[in-house]
Amino acid sequence: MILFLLDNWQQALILTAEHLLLVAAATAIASLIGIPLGIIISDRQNLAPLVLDMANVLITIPSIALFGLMMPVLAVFNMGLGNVPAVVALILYSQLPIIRNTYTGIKEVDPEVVDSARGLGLSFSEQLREVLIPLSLPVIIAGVRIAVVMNIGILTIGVYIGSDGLGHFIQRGIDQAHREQIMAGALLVALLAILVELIFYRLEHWLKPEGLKAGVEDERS
Amino acid sequence: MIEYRNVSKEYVSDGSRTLAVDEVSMTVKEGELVVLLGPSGSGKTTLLRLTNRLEELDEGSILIGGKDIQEEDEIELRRRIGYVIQEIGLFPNKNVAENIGLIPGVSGWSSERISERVDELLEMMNMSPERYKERYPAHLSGGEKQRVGVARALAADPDLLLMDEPFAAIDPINRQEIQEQFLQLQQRLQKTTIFVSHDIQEALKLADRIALLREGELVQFARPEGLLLDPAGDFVRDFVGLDRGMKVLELIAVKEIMQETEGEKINPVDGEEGPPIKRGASLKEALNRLILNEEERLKVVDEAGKRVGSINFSDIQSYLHSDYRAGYDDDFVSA
Amino acid sequence: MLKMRGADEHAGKKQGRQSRFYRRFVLGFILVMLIYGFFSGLFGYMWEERLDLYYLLQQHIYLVGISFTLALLIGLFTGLFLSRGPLEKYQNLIMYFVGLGQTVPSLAVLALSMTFLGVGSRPAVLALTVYSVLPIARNTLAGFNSVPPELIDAGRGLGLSPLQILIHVEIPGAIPVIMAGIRMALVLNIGTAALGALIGAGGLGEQIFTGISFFNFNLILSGALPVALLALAADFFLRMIEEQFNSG
Repeated sequence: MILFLLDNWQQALILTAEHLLLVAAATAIASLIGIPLGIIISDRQNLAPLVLDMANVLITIPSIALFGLMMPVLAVFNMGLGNVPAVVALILYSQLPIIRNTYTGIKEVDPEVVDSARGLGLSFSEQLREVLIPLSLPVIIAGVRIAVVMNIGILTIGVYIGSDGLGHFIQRGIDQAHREQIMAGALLVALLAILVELIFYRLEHWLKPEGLKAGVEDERS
Repeated sequence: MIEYRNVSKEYVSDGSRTLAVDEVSMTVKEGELVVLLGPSGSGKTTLLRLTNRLEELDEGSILIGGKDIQEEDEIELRRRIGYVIQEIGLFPNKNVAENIGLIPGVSGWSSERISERVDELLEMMNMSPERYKERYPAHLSGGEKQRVGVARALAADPDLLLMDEPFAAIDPINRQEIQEQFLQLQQRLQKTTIFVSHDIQEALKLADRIALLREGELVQFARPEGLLLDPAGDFVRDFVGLDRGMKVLELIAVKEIMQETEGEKINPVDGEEGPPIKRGASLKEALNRLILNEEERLKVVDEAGKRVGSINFSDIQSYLHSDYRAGYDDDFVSA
Repeated sequence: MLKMRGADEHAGKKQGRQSRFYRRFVLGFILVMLIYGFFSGLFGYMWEERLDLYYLLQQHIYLVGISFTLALLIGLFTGLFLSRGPLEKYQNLIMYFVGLGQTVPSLAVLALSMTFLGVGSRPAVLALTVYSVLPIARNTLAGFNSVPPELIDAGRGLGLSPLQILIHVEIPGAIPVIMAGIRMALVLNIGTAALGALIGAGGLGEQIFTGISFFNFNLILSGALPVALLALAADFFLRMIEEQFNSG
């Protein structure tokens, strides 16, 4: 496997880059949709079960089925094959972790803090900006992290509807019954997932608001 | 300054309706500190929250400065009212200065003005700005948090202050102290304040007038002495306690009934002995001392320790027997 | 160190009564499919091919049934075994590797299995079993760890034997988390079984992949829809069972 990788390092690099790019694009768009949705349902509780259940259904549908479903639907726009249906499927798939974490993150902010913010005269958007989002940011980012790692794995299947990415190593490995190639693909995907996850953990820690990081130390004289 | 006219609020839960606030009417004067007192479920917190529209009333109206609160934008309304709650609710992601300066900030104050105001308020709370400005709530004690909470409520110089059992979560020893400090603050600022409490002692100590509530109804609205000496019914009588006579003693200060003398040059009056008593101390304390001392008179001093007068049993007796009750006027509201 | 993934994120959260929206959604989804299927000729096609489809369905269920049963047995016992005292420190280590294992995509697991065992249903069952064991084992372990130690202590104090404690205290306490893990694993299993077609194991995936290479939507959907339905149904019913455990 190592030999294979060394021989084909350019291709490995390209495929990895493609893979990363596609996942990044999909997760970014998913976040742009999911985080605002999560914020909205935290305010309008009555919509919460509706939205969360919809996202739940999406994530329960097996990835290959979702990819398959994309084809007829997107073929109307002549985009039934390739990266587009794959990315769209990933976007739909990763809604649940993003929406759910945003929603719970905001809901779990101490109700006394929220009451003070309201009582002192902060509008909802001001509450979001000054208090709610800073305090729930780590949880929200955790949701994005889950989505990214999930997407990295699922995109490997996307090759079968024509997308780019590390799935190609695995697909060719199957076609040629070439074990090293499959392992190379699997290894790269796993490494990518681990690396990205570690970066996100750092990010979550970095984004934790100052006041929460410290314990209750005794600075008082 | 605040007028409650027939205010009612009901809650519907699982088909049954409860009247949290039942046709409460009263008027709070400018600069007055009114305590909403009552057992849990009496509607006192609800009434408070109706005032800044954190809850919406069902019937009646509330006027602040003559203006109906329904006609004002609720955000604007809340910005001109200070709000302090029991658990304080300081924003954990902001330090002390940022907590206090938040409302002025979103109201458009300049950063210099905010910074000055933060320093000013911290000084008022006896917290040195240099030490506390950059601290985070996680590093503050309960008492410190509460003081920051009060400072935050006062930041934008509101017309009115709403406080919901603000000192209840503090341990009894520190609570005394913070109540004293608050009393001094109030004397200085004269902010119209509505203060919710379930503790009769706290109410007697802090209030200009007390509104006693029970199951949503206003049972009596009077000065502390009024509740003690003329309770409007059994509920009030029970609530203030059987020792209400003694409680009255706590409300009257020595300086009101002492025999005044001028300066050190007057010889101590015959029989005066024992440690002096401050003129701001209560009659109850004076009585306590007189019982414990073997002599008949106590020397009364001011804060600096200078002799200002003298007091004994008969001074107290003649005062209590006199028409002192006529010395105050107020509105009584009977059940 | 990498946090334990999976268990904390998906599982164990106390689900309230299954919201009525969820039921409506699944039904709505089915309705939309029915309407589409009827009008687009999909159902016509599926009816024509019903024998083949039925066969594929059987294959699919066979793959899932065997692999999942094995995964349950292995996973539950591994989780249970790991939760017993002396392996405390190894617990985290092992779970760390399990976590790593879950980053390997399902497709790769299938493919690798093929390189060892050739084509057919056997390598598929192996791969599916391995892939499904991980979430079950992890959630079982997490489930047992989530039982408040005070309860166990109370049990000991009352004079229960370790076995009795296991049966009466630990297992009931761990069930919510374990069930959630089982549910997640089954849904993943059903989905991954569809990929088995790529290594010759048959199943509904056959329709999907053939459909893709011929760009034939009816083919694709005749595979994708049943698979989706299977997964949704499994999820639905397991949630109902979970609820029974949570309230009853």
